[in-house]
Amino acid sequence: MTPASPSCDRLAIAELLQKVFTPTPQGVVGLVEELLEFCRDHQLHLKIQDNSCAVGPAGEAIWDTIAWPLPKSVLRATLARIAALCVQPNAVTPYRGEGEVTLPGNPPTVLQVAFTNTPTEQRLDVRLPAVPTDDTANHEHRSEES
Amino acid sequence: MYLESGPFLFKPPQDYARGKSREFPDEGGAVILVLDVPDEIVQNAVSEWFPLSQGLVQFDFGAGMEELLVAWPGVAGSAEIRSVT
Repeated sequence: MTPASPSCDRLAIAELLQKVFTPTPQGVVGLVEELLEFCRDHQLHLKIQDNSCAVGPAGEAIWDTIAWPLPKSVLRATLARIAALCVQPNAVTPYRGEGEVTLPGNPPTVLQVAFTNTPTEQRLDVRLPAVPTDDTANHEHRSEES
Repeated sequence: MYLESGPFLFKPPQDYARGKSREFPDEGGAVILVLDVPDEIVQNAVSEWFPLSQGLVQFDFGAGMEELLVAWPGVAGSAEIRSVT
């Protein structure tokens, strides 16, 4: 894993994001896998809206925005695939929803996603789960003991 | 459009239809429309982003849509509507 940090090269992240948009034999399914793993591996928050794609460190302000470089039909299929991956099937329809996507690993990573996928609006928000601070972790530990 | 043989990587068609029905509850319920599209038209829709191996056929202008529109009267005429419970 390569967490984003103040020393992390923003240009490198932008270049890596461009690489995500390079086709693989798995088509849109491969693109979604690359996109979600990109968020996990670099601890990034991703927002796609209005044909732009923005990234920033999880929990912080957006760093960079690039144009969504692929046809609208690819974006709509991307969102449809994310809807299919949501672990709460009744919380989403093909058009909108919020849920969680689990990426395999040891341990697995749960990403929070929200999306809209209509003919007039396409939006995606991928967030990593909040990392508990020492204070919240201690509080939870105390609650378990009580 | 899904290939009838799958794979269904974007949810099974029954689930997709139910999801659409939840979004539009006043449109009579979930159904699947089964169309027999000639292979040569389907092949025009294949691209690097939409290989048939992912079970999805995306007709766009410049990628099979024009050919589908020309063939549409015959394709639609043989359509089958399957109800989804």
